[in-house]
Amino acid sequence: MNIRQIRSWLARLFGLLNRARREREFAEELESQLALHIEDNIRVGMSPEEAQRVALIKLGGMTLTKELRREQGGILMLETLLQDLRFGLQMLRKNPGFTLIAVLTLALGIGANTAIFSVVNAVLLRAFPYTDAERLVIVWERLGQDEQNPISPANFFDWQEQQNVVAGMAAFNDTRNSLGGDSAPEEVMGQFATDNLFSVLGVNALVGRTFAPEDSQPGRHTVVVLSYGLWQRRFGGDPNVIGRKVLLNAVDHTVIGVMPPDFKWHVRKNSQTGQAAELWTPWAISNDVRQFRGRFIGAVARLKPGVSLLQARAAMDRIASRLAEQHPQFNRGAGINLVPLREQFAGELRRALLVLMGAVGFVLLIACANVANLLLARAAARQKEIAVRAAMGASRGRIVRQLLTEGLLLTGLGGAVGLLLARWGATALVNLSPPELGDFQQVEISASVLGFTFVVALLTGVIFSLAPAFEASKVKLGETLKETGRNLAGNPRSQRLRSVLVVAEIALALVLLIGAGLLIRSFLRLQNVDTGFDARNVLTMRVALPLGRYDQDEKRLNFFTQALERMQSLPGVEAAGAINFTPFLGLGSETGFDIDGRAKPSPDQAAGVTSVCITDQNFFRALRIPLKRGRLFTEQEARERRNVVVINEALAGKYFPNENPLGKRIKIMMRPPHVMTEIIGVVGDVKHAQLDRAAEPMSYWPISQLPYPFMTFALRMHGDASGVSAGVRNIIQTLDPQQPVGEVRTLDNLVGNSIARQRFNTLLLAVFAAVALLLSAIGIYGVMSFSVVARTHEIGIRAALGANASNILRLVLKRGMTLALAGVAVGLLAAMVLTRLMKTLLFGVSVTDPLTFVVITLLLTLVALLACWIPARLATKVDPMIALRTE
Amino acid sequence: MSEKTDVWQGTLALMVLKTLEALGPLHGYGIARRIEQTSENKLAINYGTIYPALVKLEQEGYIASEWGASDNNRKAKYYKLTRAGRKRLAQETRKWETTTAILARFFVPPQES
Repeated sequence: MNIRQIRSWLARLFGLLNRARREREFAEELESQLALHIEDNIRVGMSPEEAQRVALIKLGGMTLTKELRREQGGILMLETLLQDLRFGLQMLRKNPGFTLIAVLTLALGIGANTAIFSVVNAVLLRAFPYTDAERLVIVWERLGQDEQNPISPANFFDWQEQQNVVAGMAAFNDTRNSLGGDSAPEEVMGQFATDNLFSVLGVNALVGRTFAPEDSQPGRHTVVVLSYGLWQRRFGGDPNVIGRKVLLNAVDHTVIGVMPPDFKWHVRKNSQTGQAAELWTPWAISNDVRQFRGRFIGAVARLKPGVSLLQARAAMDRIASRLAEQHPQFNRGAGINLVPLREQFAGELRRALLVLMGAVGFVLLIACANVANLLLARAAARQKEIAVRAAMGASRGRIVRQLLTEGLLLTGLGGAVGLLLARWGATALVNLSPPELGDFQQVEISASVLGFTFVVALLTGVIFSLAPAFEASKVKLGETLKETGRNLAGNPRSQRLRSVLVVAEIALALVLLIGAGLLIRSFLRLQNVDTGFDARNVLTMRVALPLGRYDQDEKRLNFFTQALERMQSLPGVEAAGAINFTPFLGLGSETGFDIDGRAKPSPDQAAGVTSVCITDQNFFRALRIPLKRGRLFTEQEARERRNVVVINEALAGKYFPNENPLGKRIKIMMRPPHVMTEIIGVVGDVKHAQLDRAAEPMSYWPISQLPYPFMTFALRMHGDASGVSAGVRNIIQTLDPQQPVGEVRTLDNLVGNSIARQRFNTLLLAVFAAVALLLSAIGIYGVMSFSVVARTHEIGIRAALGANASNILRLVLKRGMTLALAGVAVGLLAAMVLTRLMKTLLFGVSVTDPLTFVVITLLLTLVALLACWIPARLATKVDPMIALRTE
Repeated sequence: MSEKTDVWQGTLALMVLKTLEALGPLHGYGIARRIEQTSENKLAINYGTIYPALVKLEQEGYIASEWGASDNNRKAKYYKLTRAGRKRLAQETRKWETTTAILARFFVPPQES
């Protein structure tokens, strides 16, 4: 394109702006030219009439000349588009009811898709804020059934030294810290990590520095890196914070750096706090850490360039089997597992999100079908107008383009309203969302989400307006113009198209409803699972004592016993107990045990595995865990080491199937000295972490035997549990003014949180299914009403020939229900196939649960019947005289 | 747009430019008339077809227009050549001469020596 052509196009573009003025000017020019010609003609002797006629003929006609100039003067395509848009807007304004319904329907469909996509984008698509995040893998030990078991530090260092597939491997461990200093002590979540954590992640400090290798030397490790949030909150964003001393767990630490605002490193799985760290301290590596005991750390590694995940896994497997041979006692059956970051973080959310995305896709398809139906109906009503346009010389392409423009105008409006809905919906989604979502970046309507909405809206518009447009453009000119308003129903083919759309709609709705039904049933099951304890009116509160100040068993024991005594006397408290990990905190402690007098399976293998609970004597009363056999600890036993233990039924059933466990002695491998301890009682099973898992073997050890530095108080209240928290905090403060209190939550809340993800899935799918039901009911109602109006004449004849109201009612209902049942049949088949995708989301319900299938099918059929009933009633009111006269 | 009309448009544009060069500023009717006369009425055109050509030439900047008065004091729009138009005309003339010269060699029978 040369400069002249560009100039010409620009002129054309500007020509669009002052079109009216240019047209006027050209009309003037033509007038004057014509006048000149006529004058000349008269001069050569023609009569004035003859002169004018000849001049006009010579010109080639006024209109045509103007049209010719117009084509050159502007951009025809753009002008047509503007014209179409103007006309389309006029049409939409003229039918506000139609416009409102269509726009709302589309907004609902597009909005739901955008909202869900904004979550999908945040969880499954958007890049993590680490350098080359796709080369990062989380490292776990593989232990028995557990694919993601925390790592033993001893193993970690062996792996680090022996591997050659990763560029760096860093270990970390979530901790709760007491941050003191100038202001009141506060419990702050933190992480201790090997000095290379930040370099493996590829993230630098915003202010100051991250860890250096010398920071992990014992004695030089009292430095701390702050998160941006903590820096702002606790230090007011002070730029001179670097070098400041803070009191962390009763030890002076020097602040060396602040991380950027979007930095976050939190692996929920096996986290001992369940919350993102706000400060990082270097892990002081002494020789002691290389002893084989305890598995509790997490690790992240960066694959070397050119090394694939499979290669890395194979290499690590070789290391694992070598280590298993070298240290059979500790590492028999232990492997190494590498999990890509996305898989680790998205985890079980992925499947749920994909199902939800599919569900909103269905909702959008139903919305499309509805709007297409509306447009088809309207196109039938506009046949006359279209025929006139065709008669005036509009080509078929031109008519299709006009109708397509109108359709896109509708989706444009629908998309805009949908975006508003999505903004609101995304906020609602985040509020409802399970805690895992917090591991990702903010859910927001970002540029890629906007792009998605735009594409979806465009596709939607094309999909739902193409069929009606082609239908309409096939108008048979002569017939339509001759017919005088009769038979607006359009041709049978468009009627058939509408029927197909309704069948599809109902089928889609049925699939969604069945999916939602299955989730609801599964959720109800989950909610009704017996936890083994009574969660109502129980307040829980974690307290973690810094080992610096509480360095002796006696001190810890004293603190907890005194606190419990005082809590017991608070007004409204029925029972005050304590345990190391309350159920549904998401954490636990597990170890092997031996049984006195029973041969071990092999010298280096324990007889069994048990969860280890450390409690006081009142804990069972506080949670109302029933005693099944024997007795509980006495107060004496809880305070002094007497070597007694209480087990649960699962442990008794698994390890003492046909004998009385009472009086038997077991020994756990937790803290030396390992002493054989007598079983004095058996209590009921308790779900510890997940409602959908069977109870595990558990043993309850008096706090005097294993004085943990952290415990969770559980207070059973006579009434509402939340009122007592101030009193409890007060007790802790009086006992130790420097001791912060951790999260205070009701047990109900903890249990509820454990099924937040299921609640999220269920609620959303239920909402989408309800929308689908509503839309498809509107759809079948619309089609049936339209067909009744279209068949007024026929119904009139039938009535005149003696058909009574019930005959006519049956006639219409039969047709409507034929469509509905066809949709149900297709939907059932599709549901059989598609619900299989939900298998992992369900608990205690089969993917083809007959009850759900039957109830949902009945529900949908009933709604369809209702939607047909109204137009059918209308049909019976047709007055044969009027119907026949309207011909 | 077919090839035939393209050729016609190009030729017409050239005729318009040449006419304006010969007669100076002129209105649309005058240009059309002059083209007809020059062709000794062998070229009968609808006067209307001159206008798209004029609009295009103006868009491309080869001619400019302004309102003026005709000989018998009637208001009319006059078109005149711009400098770009003169340059273009000179180019086109040279091109035309070369082309005709080459073609002439094919159509004139060779001289016997």
